[in-house]
Amino acid sequence: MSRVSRSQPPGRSGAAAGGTPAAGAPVVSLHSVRKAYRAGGSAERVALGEVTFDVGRGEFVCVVGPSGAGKTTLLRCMAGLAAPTSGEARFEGAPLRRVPDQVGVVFQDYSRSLYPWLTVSRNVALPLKVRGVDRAARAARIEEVLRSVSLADVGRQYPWQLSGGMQQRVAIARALACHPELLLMDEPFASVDAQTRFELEDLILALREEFSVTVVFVTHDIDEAIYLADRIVVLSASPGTVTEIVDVALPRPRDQITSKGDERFARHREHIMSLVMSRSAAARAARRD
Amino acid sequence: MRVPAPAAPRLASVTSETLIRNGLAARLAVLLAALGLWQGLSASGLLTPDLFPSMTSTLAALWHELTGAVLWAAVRDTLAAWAAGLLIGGGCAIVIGSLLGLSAFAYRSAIPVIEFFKTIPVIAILPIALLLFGATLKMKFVLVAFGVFWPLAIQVIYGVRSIDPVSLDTAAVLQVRGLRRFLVVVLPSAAPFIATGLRVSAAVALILDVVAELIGGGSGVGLQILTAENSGPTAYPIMYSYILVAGLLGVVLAGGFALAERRVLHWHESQRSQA
Ligand SMILES: Nc1ncnc2c1ncn2[C@@H]1O[C@H](COP(=O)(O)OP(=O)(O)OP(=O)(O)O)[C@@H](O)[C@H]1O
Ligand SMILES: [Mg+2]
Repeated sequence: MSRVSRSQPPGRSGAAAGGTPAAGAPVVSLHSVRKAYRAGGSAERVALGEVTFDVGRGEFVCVVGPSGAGKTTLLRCMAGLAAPTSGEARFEGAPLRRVPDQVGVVFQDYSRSLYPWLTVSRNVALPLKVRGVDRAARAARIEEVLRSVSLADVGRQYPWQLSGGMQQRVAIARALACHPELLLMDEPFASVDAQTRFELEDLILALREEFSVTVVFVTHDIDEAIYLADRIVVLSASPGTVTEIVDVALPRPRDQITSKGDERFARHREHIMSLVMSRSAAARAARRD
Repeated sequence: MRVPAPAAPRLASVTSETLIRNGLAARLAVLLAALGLWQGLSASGLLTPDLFPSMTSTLAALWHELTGAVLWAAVRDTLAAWAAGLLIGGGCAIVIGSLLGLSAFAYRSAIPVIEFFKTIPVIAILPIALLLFGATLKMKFVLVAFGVFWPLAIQVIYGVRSIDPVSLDTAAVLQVRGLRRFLVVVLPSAAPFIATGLRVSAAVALILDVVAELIGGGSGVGLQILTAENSGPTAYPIMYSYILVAGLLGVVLAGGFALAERRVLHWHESQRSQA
């Protein structure tokens, strides 16, 4: 597996894996992660129940769950943007204190996460500048990564001059610019049209191969999750807990027509739908009492 | 085949051009009418020269001053204190306002004090400034800087506090920290608020500046108005021409700020359609 062979600083993954190859060590590991806002106060609001799962190196994990289940909260805990109220989130064996250098994040709302006062090039250049990449190398890298997301000749434009799909491509390019180990995506394709969405889904599968990156992808679209994922973490309604983790038995490479026409796809779909529906029906019943 | 498509934008630009030209023409007409009315009132004897000189004598005096050195020295002195006060007071407001805005604790601790200082009419501290520095450029500068600082600091604090949390999350993810975060993320986010604050502050600064000259005796356009007034009715055309100069300064500076704002904030939603 080529994506495992990337050189690792000694100690980081080696310690956790006890000498075995890095393939065995999870990139992310969540242990009873629970998050409450205004914790301890009278207005405490539990956003995320206790969630436990690991994400292995090179895996593509989707998280599905109804609106308000705590998907964004979960992703922010995995990124190191938010600290769990209890439990522990680890990245490559070390407890998360802040956002690790090797994590890229694509937020749902590209119009808010791309800086409108910077051109496309400067948006992508920003993480490279922070890491001290010199001017020439930066320019080369920007061009390379923009080409990877099938964007060329937009570097001098401002993000808001581009279509929604193109803007999200820029955000993906920026997240990949520094070769992250882990890419976290929060409903990245929720606000583009269906046609663009399919293109972006295929793009992200191709990029995952090209960059050998581990992906955690949040979505509320069950079809999208099945199409993309190796494993799907199904969250219950708010406060989210893990209902089930589904292994997706669909061969790769995947294809919008044949994969989605596969009978296994239909079976996964039915199964996950029933999980989500029965859970939300139960939640409604509980609320009525 | 002739393609008619490009005609539409050209048509649009032509209409906007004629609109601007018509607008200018209308403004010019109103200005001329006002000047004519002024002259008419003087000629009819409703305005007497011991109170209000005629339009022609005022403009003649203005022309005379424009060709002399006194007016330009006065304009220079007025602008010097204005610019220095705005620069220092504004700079401090941006730095301190940002620091206060970025910390919820600092914000809660400091905001009552700032709101209090903002409500003090700045002219009330003119005697203190006069006592400390006399009728000097420094006195004007201190007054302007003080007057600019409080309202702008509040504007900056609100601007910084209104930053989209997604912008800050993005900065954290991209590992943008410290001074770079301040310059690349925080400042541009707050820029629309800061620009509004600066535009208002610049106008307030000019008023304070001229008042400090007029009452406090610092050299500049305001002092020229005072001197001419003290020289009696024969100097009234000069007094009025300096009042006109003060007004023109205000118009030019406000126009400059509006122009600068449009350029600096070209990326902002409010400016995009004009780009
Ligand atoms: N900063 C916050 N302060 C207080 N409550 C919050 C905050 N952020 C989220 N919540 C609450 O936590 C719960 C989970 O929110 P979260 O955004 O993680 O859900 P989600 O699954 O991402 O929803 P969606 O599908 O709508 O994006 C929601 O009920 C929300 O109101
Ligand atoms: Mg969400």
